[in-house]
Amino acid sequence: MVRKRKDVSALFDLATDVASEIHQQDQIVEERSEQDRAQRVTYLLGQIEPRVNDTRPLHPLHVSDLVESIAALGLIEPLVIDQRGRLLAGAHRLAAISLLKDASPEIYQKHFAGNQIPVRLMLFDADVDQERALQVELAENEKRVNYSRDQIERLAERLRALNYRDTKGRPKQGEKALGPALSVAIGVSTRYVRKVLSEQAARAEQAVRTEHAERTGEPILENRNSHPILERVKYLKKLEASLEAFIGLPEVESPSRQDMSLHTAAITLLDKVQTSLKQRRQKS
Amino acid sequence: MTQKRIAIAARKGGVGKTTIACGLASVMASQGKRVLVVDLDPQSNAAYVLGANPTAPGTADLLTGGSPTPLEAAPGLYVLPGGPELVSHGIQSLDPEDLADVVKPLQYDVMIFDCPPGVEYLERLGIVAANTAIVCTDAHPLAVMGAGRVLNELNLRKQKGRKGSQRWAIALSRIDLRRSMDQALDKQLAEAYPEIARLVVHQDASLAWAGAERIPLMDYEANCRGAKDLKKLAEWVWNG
Repeated sequence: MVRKRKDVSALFDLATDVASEIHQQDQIVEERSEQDRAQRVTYLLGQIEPRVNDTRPLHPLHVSDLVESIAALGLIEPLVIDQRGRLLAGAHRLAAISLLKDASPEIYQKHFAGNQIPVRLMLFDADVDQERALQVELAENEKRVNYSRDQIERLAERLRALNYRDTKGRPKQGEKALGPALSVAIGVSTRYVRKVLSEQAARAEQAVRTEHAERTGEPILENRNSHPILERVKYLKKLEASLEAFIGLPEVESPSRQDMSLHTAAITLLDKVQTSLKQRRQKS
Repeated sequence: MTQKRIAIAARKGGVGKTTIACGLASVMASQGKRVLVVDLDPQSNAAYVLGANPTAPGTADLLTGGSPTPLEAAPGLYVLPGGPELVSHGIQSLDPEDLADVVKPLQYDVMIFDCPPGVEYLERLGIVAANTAIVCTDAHPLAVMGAGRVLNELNLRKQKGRKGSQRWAIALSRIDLRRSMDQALDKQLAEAYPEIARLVVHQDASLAWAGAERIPLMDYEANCRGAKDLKKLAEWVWNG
């Protein structure tokens, strides 16, 4: 038996109606995917537009330091862009990435395959909301350089344990450059990191010398201006001990005027030395 | 002459998007134009149909900052292959206007964006990069439903003043008027979308064979019925 078919145009009508209903769902999905795009984590290098108003000019040394560190570690902190792909924070890093692309295309490809640059996209338009754009730029710059020297040194220790070396020039096979790694990690220049590390090295050397002196009894070759207050106290104490011993000596038979005058002066001096030491103790 | 950028879309699969896109491209190239087919389909059928290498770097490479060389399928007829890379995370997260930006510097008289079935973010890249759209449907309610969704989106974007296709037509694909649904389709679309131009591409074995043998339509059989229908479609693009 042949089944009786429905009217064709009614079937098409139904399809057209459903298309309109699904279209509403399409719109909801599109809206959601637009929001999802805000969470996109990479952007094409060529599509990141430079900042319109730069509050500070690019520092060439800072850029070349960053090229070094980005080549070593990649971009750790993403660039910040607005919803139209305009840079809000990270002008130095962006310049460094572009330089790296020209200078060492292979290293660039390794870190940024397909020209995908890590970004944090903020959902506003820098043209419309200029104040917010400036705030983001400043906040991002303020956030850095807050590591104390101690913290930097401790970080350096941890990195050294991971085979990072602070030698000049290209690191050897299996070793990694400490300076650039640190500078990326804490967002300061490699010059600053080197300065902190060299001061640390000087202090470590001093500690070795002190330890050697205590062990062998040889005098420490102090820096002329090292701890002047402690030096003073040390000699005052020696002076006090010597004077006490001197005054406590049995009197010489038939002392001369000279002897008696010296004895009186010693007692006065001891008094002065003790007063000075007492003041020092109260202060500390 | 202003550049024609045509998106071929349907939402539904298997209704003849790639056949129409590549056939139209072949017709326009035979009219002396420099034509580029941009395949947005992860299945990469367009390059295959035109006899080029479907696995060569193509649209995905272009979208991720590369500059792939379009493959020449015939004099004046070039294709950028699609491919599975089109579903990568990087491309999914692109802005809908990104394809429009990257094709801007390409020098062609005509660009044809062959949109994929189902994958809406890729289809959207195509209709936003185009200034003209051709929405394909065959004579089945499921295809009409898919086409309806595309038409609704085109309409909404235009109303909102967004970038992209400003004019569009419906291509009635694989039409065989011996069948009752095929007979009813044109009248039905005329009622549902009275403002939109409708063009018929009849069922034609030559269209299927040209694709299967991987020869551009105008090189395969320039006078077949499908080619004549596609010339009318080209005429609508130029002057409609």
